[in-house]
Amino acid sequence: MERIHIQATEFTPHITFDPSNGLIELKGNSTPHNSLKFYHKMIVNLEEYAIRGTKDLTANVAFRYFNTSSSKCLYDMFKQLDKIKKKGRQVTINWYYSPSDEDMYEVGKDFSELMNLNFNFIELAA
Amino acid sequence: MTEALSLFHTEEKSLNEFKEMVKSDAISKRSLVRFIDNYDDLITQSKVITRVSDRLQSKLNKANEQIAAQNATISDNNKLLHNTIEQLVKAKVSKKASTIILTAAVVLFVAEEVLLEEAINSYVDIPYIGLIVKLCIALTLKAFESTIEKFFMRREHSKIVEEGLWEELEVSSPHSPGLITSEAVPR
Repeated sequence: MERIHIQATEFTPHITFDPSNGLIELKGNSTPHNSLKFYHKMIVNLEEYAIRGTKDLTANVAFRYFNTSSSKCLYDMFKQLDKIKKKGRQVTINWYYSPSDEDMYEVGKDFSELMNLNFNFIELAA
Repeated sequence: MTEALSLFHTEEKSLNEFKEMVKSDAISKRSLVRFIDNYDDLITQSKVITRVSDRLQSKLNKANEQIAAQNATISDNNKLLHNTIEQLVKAKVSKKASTIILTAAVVLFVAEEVLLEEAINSYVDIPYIGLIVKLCIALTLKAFESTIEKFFMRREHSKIVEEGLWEELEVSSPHSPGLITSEAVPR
């Protein structure tokens, strides 16, 4: 498991995965040309964490927009987080959204309800 | 490596494995249960992705409506600005033309009074000839004033065109805003 840190671009989000501190951060827009290529390393690391990780995890997610293929990758990541949770470690998912962005709040609700995951919904300061 | 992978590579792999089992008549209850689990997961995935995509499409639609409204406002403001500039130029040119005509009138009236009137009087004896000549000068100058105004107006327009102001106004007020795509969503 390696530490991942990717700077945000116009089309890709800021990504941090810090296994030693149990921290995941996803922030920005996600419309990469190849979503799988962009998220693959993160998904593989989470799969590995589900097997070997020892710490509780906190995922801070603050998207402004993401495309359909990114939503599939997010689904895969959340599935891994669910696996980690089922292995007995505490997983906290903080879903940040802008108060003016009701749609992004609803997107978080959809993930949470359909995947049976507990999200903390946090309004970003306006 | 990931470039060759499909977004649904895990699901495709599971399906292909199950197809192989069916072909070789090696289906166990365990493999069936796994297949059902995978199918169940696919249904959940479809539900999540469909619902999330619909939400995000609605977000894009709202952003497009917002951009269209902003473009309409910009276009209206540009028209207003265009008209204001036109009026300002007109006022400036009119003032300039009036100053020139007034100066010319003063010079001509003085010249008529001092030089011309006496010369005319020595040739013809018409009552109020000086007044008639002044009236003619005034009418000629009035007609000339609009010509000067047109000349200065043309000059001001070409100056503005050279500075590119009109083009900038026209470029910044698109009349038919295109739809934004997911890659141009407001930040």
